Amino acid sequence: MMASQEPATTSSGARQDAQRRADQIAAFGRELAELQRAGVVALDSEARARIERHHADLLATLTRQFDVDRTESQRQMTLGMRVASLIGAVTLSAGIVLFFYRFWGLMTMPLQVAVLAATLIVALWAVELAARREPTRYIAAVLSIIAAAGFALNLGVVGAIFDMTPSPHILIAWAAFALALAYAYGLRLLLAAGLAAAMGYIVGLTAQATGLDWAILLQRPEPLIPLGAAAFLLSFWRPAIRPEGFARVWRLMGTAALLLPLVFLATGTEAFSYQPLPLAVLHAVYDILGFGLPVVAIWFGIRRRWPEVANAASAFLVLFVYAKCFDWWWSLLPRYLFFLLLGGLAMGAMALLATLRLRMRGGVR
Amino acid sequence: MTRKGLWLASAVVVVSNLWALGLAAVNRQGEPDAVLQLTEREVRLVPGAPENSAVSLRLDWTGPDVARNTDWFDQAKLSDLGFDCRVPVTRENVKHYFGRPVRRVYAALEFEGPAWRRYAAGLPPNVDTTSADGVPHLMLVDLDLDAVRLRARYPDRTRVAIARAVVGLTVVQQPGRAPRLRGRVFEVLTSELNLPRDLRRNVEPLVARDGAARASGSSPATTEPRGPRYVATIRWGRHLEPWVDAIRMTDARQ
Repeated sequence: MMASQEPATTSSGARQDAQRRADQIAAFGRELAELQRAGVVALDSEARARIERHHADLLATLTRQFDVDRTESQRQMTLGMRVASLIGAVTLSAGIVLFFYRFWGLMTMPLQVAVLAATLIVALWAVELAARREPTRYIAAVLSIIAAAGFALNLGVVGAIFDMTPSPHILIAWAAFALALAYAYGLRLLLAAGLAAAMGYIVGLTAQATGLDWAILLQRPEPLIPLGAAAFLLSFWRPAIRPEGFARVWRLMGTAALLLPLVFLATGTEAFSYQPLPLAVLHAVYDILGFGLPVVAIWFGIRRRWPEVANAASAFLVLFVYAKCFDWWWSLLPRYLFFLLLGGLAMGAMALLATLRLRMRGGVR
Repeated sequence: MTRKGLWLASAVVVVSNLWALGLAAVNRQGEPDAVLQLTEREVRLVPGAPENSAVSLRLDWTGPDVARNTDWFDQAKLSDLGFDCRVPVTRENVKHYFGRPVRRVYAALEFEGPAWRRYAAGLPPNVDTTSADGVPHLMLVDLDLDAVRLRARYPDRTRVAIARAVVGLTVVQQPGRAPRLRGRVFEVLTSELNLPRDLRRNVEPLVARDGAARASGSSPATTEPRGPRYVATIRWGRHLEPWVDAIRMTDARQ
């Protein structure tokens, strides 16, 4: 089976399954050794040899096809490669952008546009070539990030060449590009970036429709709340989450978009809200949502074993409580008492999170 | 088999570029909305960054703040521009108006018109209005939510350009006086104009000379005052987006 010939959606999933199998084999070997040392089980030499032979053949196949990590050192190397590939992608992108800016003034206008578009198309096909030849997709991921940066450069430079007024539509174009690449190659970082850009587009469009400058974005974050809810619901939609790990990204982006605006809206309703309802009503609504939604999300995240949702909601709840404490008590309490109170709340939050952590691991004290 | 997503991404690139080129073409088609002959005072060469080989001109204008003529940009005008000014402006309520988001409106930019003459006549003699580094003669004279309505008030397309602008409101608080609302213009779009390669050859010696002066520690402004070195023809198209159509040198470039 040639992993590079499979559609991206199953290929990245297949690698994750292969790595899980390799980890399972390693864990089995360690546990079996412990059980034998403790005298719980005793395998005869023939059975042990058969198991070891089977596992060795299986690991060799998995390594050959999916380049799985077989030892802790390899796992750490893989993590290092991921960090290096991300840094490499960012720095290469910066280099390419600056290279273009160094020479674009020497080109005629048609040549500028042609070079930009052609470079981008070449980058896309380089991503495809890399994905076919390398099962781990590190190179493909780096090239995808470079391609995405290249497209942002493309849009920015075309706007500058023709002196165009900045518009929110560049966000949806970039989002479409990032999402197309993300789904083609199973790239979670590009999925998250594409979702963020798509949400930013709708927020900017809403601002523009009300006469505001669309670039204010986070100064009117209300549209993010229904967008976050929609993203969370879409994490249940099969076509959207076919690639491995995509459901987690949709859930995390949905949780963040749903909860983060509440920090601003609950503490600065007048400054951040479109005020679709009377202010007194909005104050109450955002306070209730700010305290209630993360609690529901934490409970849901524990029940469904979604650590990304539980962790994000926990972090938000801590941030929200601190923000509200500042909003209620900063001007009322002496400073020392205010910080003692916050410290006490932090201790309480730590105890609560420790309990939640234990429950997520399925342990009981 | 090549992935569908790859074809989709390629299609997004092609469609986006064609769309942008189409919009630019539509903007530049037909009769321009305005054509102004602006000097170096109003469209200044942007100092070239070492890492950027492009040359651009920055649109400089004199706003109500600088002209100390903000009376017309008052609470009534802010309300006309869509700002919610219903809460009474008192010392107790003034915080209601802090941090209001900016809005996009249309601005009328008048070149050497009645507004400039009034402003220049009231300036002290030591204020430079004639040299290349002097006060721009392009005045922001009016704002409106409707570009057509604004153009109807300023029909002279050789002297007044209509452009998009970003405006906000501020609270003016002075001792002994009730607080009041005033508008502020943050930006006129598009403020930086690309100078195409075929027009650059005229100004490249100036770019090189200015760059050398800057590198040696002196700014062009500290050298002997001189008149504007060039006059640029700036056109505003159907979408009210400007571009540099021509640039000719003056005698002052020597």
